Amino acid sequence: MAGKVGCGLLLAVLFCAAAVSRAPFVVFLLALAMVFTAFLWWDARTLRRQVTAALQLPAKPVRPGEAFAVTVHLQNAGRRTVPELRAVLRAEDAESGTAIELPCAAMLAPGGRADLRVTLRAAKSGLWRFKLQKLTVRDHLGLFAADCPPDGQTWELCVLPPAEGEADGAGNTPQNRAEQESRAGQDIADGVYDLRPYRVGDPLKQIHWKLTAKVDELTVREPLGTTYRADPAGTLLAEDGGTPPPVLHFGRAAVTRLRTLTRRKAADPDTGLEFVDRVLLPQQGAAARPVLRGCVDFSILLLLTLGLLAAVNSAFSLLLPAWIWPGAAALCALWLALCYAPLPAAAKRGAVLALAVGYLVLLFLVQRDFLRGMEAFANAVKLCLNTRFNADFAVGEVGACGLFVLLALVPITAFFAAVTVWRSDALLLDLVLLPAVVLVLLAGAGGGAVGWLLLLLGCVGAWAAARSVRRRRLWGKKDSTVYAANVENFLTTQKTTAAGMMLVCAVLFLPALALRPVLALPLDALQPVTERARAAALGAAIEWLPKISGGALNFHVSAAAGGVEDGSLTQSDGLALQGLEDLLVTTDEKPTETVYLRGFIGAEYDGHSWQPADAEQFDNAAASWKTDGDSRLAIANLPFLRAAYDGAAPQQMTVQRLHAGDAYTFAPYNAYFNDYYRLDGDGAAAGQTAQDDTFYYFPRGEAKTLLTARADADPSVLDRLESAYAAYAESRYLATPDGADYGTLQEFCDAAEKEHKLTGDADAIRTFVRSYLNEHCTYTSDPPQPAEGADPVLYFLSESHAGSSTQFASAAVVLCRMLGLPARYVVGYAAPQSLFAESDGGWQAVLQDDNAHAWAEVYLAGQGWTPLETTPGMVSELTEDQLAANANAVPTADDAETPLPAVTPAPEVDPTAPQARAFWWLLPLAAVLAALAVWGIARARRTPADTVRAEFRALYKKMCRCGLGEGVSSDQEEFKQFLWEHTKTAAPQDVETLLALVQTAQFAPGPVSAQTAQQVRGLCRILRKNLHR
Amino acid sequence: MQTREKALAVTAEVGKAVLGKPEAILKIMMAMLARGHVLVEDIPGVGKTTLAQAFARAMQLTQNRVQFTPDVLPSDIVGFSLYQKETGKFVYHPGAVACNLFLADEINRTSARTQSALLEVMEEGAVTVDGVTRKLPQPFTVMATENPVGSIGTQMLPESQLDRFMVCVVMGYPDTEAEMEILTRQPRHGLLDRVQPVMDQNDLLTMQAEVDNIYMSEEILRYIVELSQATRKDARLALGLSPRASLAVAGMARAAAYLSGREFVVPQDVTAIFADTAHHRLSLTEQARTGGETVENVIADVLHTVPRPRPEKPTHGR
Repeated sequence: MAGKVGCGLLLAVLFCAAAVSRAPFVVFLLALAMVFTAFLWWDARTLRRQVTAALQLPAKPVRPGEAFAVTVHLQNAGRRTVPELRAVLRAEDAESGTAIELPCAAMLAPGGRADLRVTLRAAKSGLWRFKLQKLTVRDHLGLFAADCPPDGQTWELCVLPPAEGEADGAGNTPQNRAEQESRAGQDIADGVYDLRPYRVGDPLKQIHWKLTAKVDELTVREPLGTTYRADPAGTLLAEDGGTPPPVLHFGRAAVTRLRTLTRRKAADPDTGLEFVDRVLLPQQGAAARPVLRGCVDFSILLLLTLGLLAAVNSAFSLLLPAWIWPGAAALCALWLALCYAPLPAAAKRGAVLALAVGYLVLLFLVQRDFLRGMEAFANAVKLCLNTRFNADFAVGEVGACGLFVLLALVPITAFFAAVTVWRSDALLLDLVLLPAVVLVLLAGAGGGAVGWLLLLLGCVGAWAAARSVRRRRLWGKKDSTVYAANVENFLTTQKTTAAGMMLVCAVLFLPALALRPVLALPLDALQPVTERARAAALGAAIEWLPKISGGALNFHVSAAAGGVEDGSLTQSDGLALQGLEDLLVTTDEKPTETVYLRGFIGAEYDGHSWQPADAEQFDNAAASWKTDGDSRLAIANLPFLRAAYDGAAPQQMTVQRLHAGDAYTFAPYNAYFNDYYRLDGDGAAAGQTAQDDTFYYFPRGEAKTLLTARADADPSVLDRLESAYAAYAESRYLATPDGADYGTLQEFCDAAEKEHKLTGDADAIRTFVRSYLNEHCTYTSDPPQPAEGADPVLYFLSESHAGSSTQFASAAVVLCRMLGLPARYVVGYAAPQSLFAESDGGWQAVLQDDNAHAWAEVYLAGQGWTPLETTPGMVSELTEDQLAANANAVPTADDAETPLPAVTPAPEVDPTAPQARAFWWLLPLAAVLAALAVWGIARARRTPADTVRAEFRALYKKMCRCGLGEGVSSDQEEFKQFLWEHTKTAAPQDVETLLALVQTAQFAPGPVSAQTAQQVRGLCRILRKNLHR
Repeated sequence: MQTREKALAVTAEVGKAVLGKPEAILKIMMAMLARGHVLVEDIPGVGKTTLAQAFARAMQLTQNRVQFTPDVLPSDIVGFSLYQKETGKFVYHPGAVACNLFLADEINRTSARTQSALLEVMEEGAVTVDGVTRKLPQPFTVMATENPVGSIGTQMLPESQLDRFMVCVVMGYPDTEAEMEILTRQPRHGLLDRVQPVMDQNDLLTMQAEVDNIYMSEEILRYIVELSQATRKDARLALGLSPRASLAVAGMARAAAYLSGREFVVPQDVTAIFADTAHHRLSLTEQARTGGETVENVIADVLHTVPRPRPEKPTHGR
């Protein structure tokens, strides 16, 4: 049951995950599920034809009180495993016509036979009709049931009336039956008898033929027996005469009661029918196939582990190194080899201990990388969950992250998967898989189809294995060999079932993969509808959520319709909406760099927020530059025009507004604005009026090349204009806020400038700022807020050291300005190149709400405004040469922290800190391990005699807990009685054997043999396990 | 262990003659296996003599029987030397004890002098007449019957002699069914004829050797010693168990283990035979007797208080 529920739950979540992430994949999965379900239905329908069942009753009539067995011979003639077979045995009382149904169940291996023996005891005479009423076969996952054609044949069993003088069901042996009968005959001859209607089983001799002829109903004479003779006056008889003899009567309530009794194995006080037991007797030898079992366990383990890892990997863009996969597989193989290897238990324990020690040693050796990997992994997950930016790590971190995954995630995953395999319980599977699936869902990643499919296969296998639940109650209570054979058969059946299901699932999967494009077609057609539905749902959420939550979940409308805000640096109550699509960007060619779309441009920092540039001032300055037409447009178009001066062909980009706010026009760098656009001074294009804008532009890389080439050429009008603007930018965009705090920051910058020789070197300044921020500050989607009125930038740099892109960009601008590089603060969208997908001859990217971003831009003479990315996680836009430059020029943390410990973020990073931390959390682990080692050694040093004593004492203690009297010792009958009554599967001979062995171990001469100890341990464990109150 | 089957067969055969007393038969068998002597104490007419005869018959032992009356003399028991005129020498005529199973009927009716003649016989298995010590045939067992103290014409056996009997078996009346059976059985007088011999003297000797080899662990030995000491310390008893009694308990426990088919003794063996072995050796103080105390109660108390070696409880020494 747990298996069924658990796997169902998990499959549902898997489907939901696929549904939310990528539509074509869910269609594929749904199709797969449909085909699979059809297969299961077919399976159940055909399985029923290969199952036969026959009923066998005792050949002779039985006496009351005598136990009799009804045997159902079950056979599976086919080549497929029957995982579940249910038989309903119907016993009908011929007199009252009331029926009792006895449900039984079994599973059969291919070609397997088994006898289901139901033992009953009837206390009263009568005729019973037995019929095999229903035979149901279920498929491997238990979804469909199919009835087998019933036998229809009815068998009769006569329960004779009790012999005279014999107590009903008391089990007394009849004394001298001939004498009894003759005495009864004597009584009848003497006329000492009673009359009653004929009952089946009455001897013919006692029929009162004359009376029968008179009343036209068979009537028999019943001898009154000893009671009457003892008191011929009949006083006793008169007293008894009033009460009618008890009649065997089964009502509906009786049937219910019998069912309860069947479960409880007790006698029914009224009807006297007693259920003795039910045993499944396997008719063929136990088929032990350890290879099959090992293979199935290994496949499920591998599928689950690798599937989960693959899903996590693709969801969080971890870019795990390739050696993770064979590493995980090797771990699984090692674990199962340990489980299945025919090694003594001590050797296995030693191996596990050695593995654990090796693991810890490895962990200790690579702890720095491990911790770095952990941080990187956590960052990746956080980034994914919060921003859904593509979180490519810098190249150096991949190895560390892989190490962390191998050392931390793989063992945990493999452990839970191993437990699932061991216990065949899918609820356990959910424990590990559900959180991971939910996490992956939250990350919103759709890829990793391979991972999902591996998980699916593993789940189906685990489900099929969990389906064949052990029915211990049926497995031979009195005989441990029957029990053992049943366990063997069960394990084989279980593993065969799981293997078969995984195979079928895999076979079905292959054609479905081929059909995938076809299956995706109808969904593409449906896409506009689903888009609209999703938009409507989001709109409703924006409108209703604040009302429902009483303002707690207040969606800022501007934020909801685009994560881009103005230059405010304090926390807004806006919320980036995952999945809300803001912009649709289409380009001619696949972008080779992150595409930045500028919205708001902040020029002046007033200590709290960024303000746009003063348009009037700009216009005044521009008046002297003698530009053609609108000076604002001319300046904005300068980079484009200069790059195109030598005839280079620009690219085209269309930015279509889906749900983004219309406060800004989002345009790429080096774009050409025509007259249509109204520019807001020296800044962004204001208010978008059209639904989509098409820009000609030069990608930044290309523009850089072109403009660098222009620097050597003859200066044109445009170039002269550019140098004029550069002078303007230097005069305008170097202003920093006043104040004592900024004074110390300025001093720090001056010192850094001097130390790293940054003066006038724009590249060095950019590298310094970026590396400084990346090393001293961490990214968080929920930045800590400064106190009311405090400066957010100073707070970020000197106290919190944590912030989002807004804080990073602001700080970068301030630092650049202090170091003498003109800089501005920009808010807009950043589209990683990986977001672009080919469609309709172009490359399209849908920018979602959480692609909104803030960054700094610096003015490079001759190049124009260039973005400076400082947010961690966005570093991927660094080009190769920049990385190389980093390697040479990055100042170390030690260098950076020297000048101004007071104001600068001076992280007192002790280089040994991670190591020290690791050491401390390794200590308890080592202590646990040492304790384990001591325990293991103590166990290994235990002699067999100690083992026997310890096991038996443990059993005795458990018995005392279960209610055994305190003074009862093991050599008393009560002890055996207790053990026999309170265990489900203990056979009396098992108890006897155990006691004999224990006595031998304690009192016999010579040392106890290991075999005896093993035997005692086995018996004690079985008994202890099955002991109940 | 086929000999063990034979021993059990003997008890079964004896059971045909003495009905409803399987436990008493088993105890006597044990005592014989442990080379001990048996005292059967009971009122007349419950089949004491039949019992002894049945044993002798089933085991093919030579058996002599002496009805002890006040005028039985020691020479009747141990034998005497008679001058033979022809040879001019004293010729030894063996007494009644020259057999394998000596049945001393109603031993407590004879004089103390005659009783003491049995002392050496029982302890050494030898008789000394006129300064010549002669070994008795092996195996040798004395089975004595006595009437309860206080019956007419009885006197108490001395403690020294009582101590030499390994067990004291109390027969008791048969239950209703067994008595009915005794009455209805045909032939009514030939009960002994039903007993078939199943073994011989050599078998008994082999068995005795095997019983000696039964292993007794230190824990069990300690348990026996503690039981003996408990009787010596008990305030209600005037006389506790002697070391010979401890030996007897050990021997009986070995025999019990042997009959159960084990090669070692377990505590149940000791508890099963302890009462029978100790009962006749213990005597209450006057105070206790007048206080209504019985030896049975004391034995039960001792068995209850002395901790039995049990696998589930830690014992001392380990």
